Amino acid sequence: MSKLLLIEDDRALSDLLSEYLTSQGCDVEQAFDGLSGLRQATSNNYDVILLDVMLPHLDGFEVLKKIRLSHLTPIIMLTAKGDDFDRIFGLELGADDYLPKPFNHRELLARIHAISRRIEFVKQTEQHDQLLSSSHVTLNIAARKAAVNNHLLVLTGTEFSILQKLMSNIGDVVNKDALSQHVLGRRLAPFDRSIDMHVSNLRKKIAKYSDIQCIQTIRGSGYVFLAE
Amino acid sequence: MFSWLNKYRPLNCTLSKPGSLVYQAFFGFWLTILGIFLMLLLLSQLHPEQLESKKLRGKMLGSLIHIQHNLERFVNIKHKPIAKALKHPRLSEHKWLYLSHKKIEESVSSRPNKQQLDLSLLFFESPTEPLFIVTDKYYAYGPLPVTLNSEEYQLFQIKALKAPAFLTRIKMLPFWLKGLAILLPSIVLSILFSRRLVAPLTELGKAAKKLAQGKLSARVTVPAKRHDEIASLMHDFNFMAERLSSSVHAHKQLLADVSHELRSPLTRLTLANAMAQDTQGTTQNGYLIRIEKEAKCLDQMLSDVLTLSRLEQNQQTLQLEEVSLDALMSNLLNDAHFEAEQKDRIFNSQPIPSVTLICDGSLLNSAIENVIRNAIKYAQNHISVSFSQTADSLSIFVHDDGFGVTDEALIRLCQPFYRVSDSRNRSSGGIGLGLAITKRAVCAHNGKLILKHNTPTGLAAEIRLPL
Repeated sequence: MSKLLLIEDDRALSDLLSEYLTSQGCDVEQAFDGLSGLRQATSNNYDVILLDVMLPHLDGFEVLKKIRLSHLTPIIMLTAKGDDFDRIFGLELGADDYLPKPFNHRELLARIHAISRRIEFVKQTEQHDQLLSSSHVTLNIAARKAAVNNHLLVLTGTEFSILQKLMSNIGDVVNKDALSQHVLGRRLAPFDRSIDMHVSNLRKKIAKYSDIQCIQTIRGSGYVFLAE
Repeated sequence: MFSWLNKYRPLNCTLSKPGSLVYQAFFGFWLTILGIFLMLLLLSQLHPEQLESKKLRGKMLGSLIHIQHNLERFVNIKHKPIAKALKHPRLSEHKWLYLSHKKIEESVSSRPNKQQLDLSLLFFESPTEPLFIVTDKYYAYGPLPVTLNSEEYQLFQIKALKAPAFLTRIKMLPFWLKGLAILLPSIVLSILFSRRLVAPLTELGKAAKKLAQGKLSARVTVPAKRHDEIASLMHDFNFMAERLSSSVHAHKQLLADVSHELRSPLTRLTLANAMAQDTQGTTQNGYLIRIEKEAKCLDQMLSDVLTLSRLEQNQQTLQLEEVSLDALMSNLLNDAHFEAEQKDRIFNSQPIPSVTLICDGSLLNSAIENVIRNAIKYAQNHISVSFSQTADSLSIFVHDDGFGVTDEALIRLCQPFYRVSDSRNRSSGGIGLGLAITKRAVCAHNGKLILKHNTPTGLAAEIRLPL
């Protein structure tokens, strides 16, 4: 059972959504504006946060930025369809995924499941102290911690999952579609830049502590974590 | 009585306004003339040595020679006294004649020298051709040698100056210098004058062009010192641009708001419908599925309208990237193939050439999709997709064998919401935005959408993209 926070100013939609998600076994809390949403998001622990872009008082991007200062809770942005800019901007700021309105309820549930499954998976494997490492990047899967040259990285769940997938296949190309399936729980639509955005964020974070660019783009195919 | 005149007079520029174009034109011409005159004056001051004398020619010389002959006849043959002969009406009439002698006191004048002109200058030691001589106070024409009673005289005609000296000096300037003095200031001043008129108009033209290209921030800077009709035109232009940009902005805002406001209930509708489908029995489901379908249709229309309005306002910022034609079209062709099979149509497609385009992938993808979908929708039996490539362009041809459209419809097919009422009615789906979007999307990539009649029937569409 996932614990969700729904930040959405449209009360009717929010009520409908929480009714539906509750019926599907989720524990939903609601916030109706940016400020209270931010307060709730930072004071409680949630498995997933659903965040609308257009919000009174503090818009979705601002809320996202502020949550990310202290929390790595997975966030799914609810955007207006056709606003490519909104999507990419959200991902750049550290959102895990986005869903354009009007969305299919089953798809929303699938995404929530995909993201929380990762967390479940981690909780299950917590007993085994599993480590993945290359010459300068170390991944502690159980603790969900990544370090570059002994500096701790602050990664979102999605970024961690991408790194984990790439590092468990060191030297092999992982194609974007497989990455998307694994990390976001969905097939990549044509011209969907989500995975690229997450990888780009990941690279930036690694580049802070290392000169070696260990994640390489393979044109038209995917990404590879270099053996050395 | 003339109240109707006021109607036609622009409100904020009346003739009496100082600095208006009328005055500028007047002063422009006036200054040019003044400049020419000043130039002449200046030149005449700069060349004093050239002024003093000029060879005497023509009528004046003839008249002087006539006087010389008569004088010699009167004095040497008719033995009249020199002074009297000089004053003879047939000689002097109204002229002032002067016979200059080596000794100044022997010189004879036909008139008393009332103005105390210095006539002592008028004697040339060496023989000299007749000249036109200018001094500060008088002109003199001469000398013409005359021998009277065996005495050598030099004959002059004198004119005391009434006009100011400078006019004379200007008159005396050589022809080329006069030409120069007229041309130079008139050219320089005319250029300055016309530039003052034309430069702001050129600037206005540039700004207007920018505005037409959709750069709504284009403004002209009005020089602070300018207060004429052009300045007021510039102010009006800026005002117009301001209004235009604010109304376009409002339009954009409205579209965004409308889309957001319409989407919210649509989202709720979809969700409520989905929950109803989950809880209701199968008997009700037919209607609920219908509702879902209509909601989807509404959503598609909304995003089409938004895409179109963005494209029309040039607001769609293209996200250019390198995309292979294969990546752009392979899924699309697969889907089309599948869809055509479902409708018992034959879908033929040439292999996709290996070309890389620099384009906005998703925009171009939907542009091509619209054309192919249209073809599938209206084809009777066959749909074919083919490619042709030249050095600098790629063409994608989509042909169908449907009923086609009339010549008139062919032209209007790309207009938003245009539908050919007979063959393309509402039951075929869509709201007539597909081709409009395609056309604008292809144009945004500097390409062309060319629609023709297919032979024997149907529509032949060509999407031509630069490489």
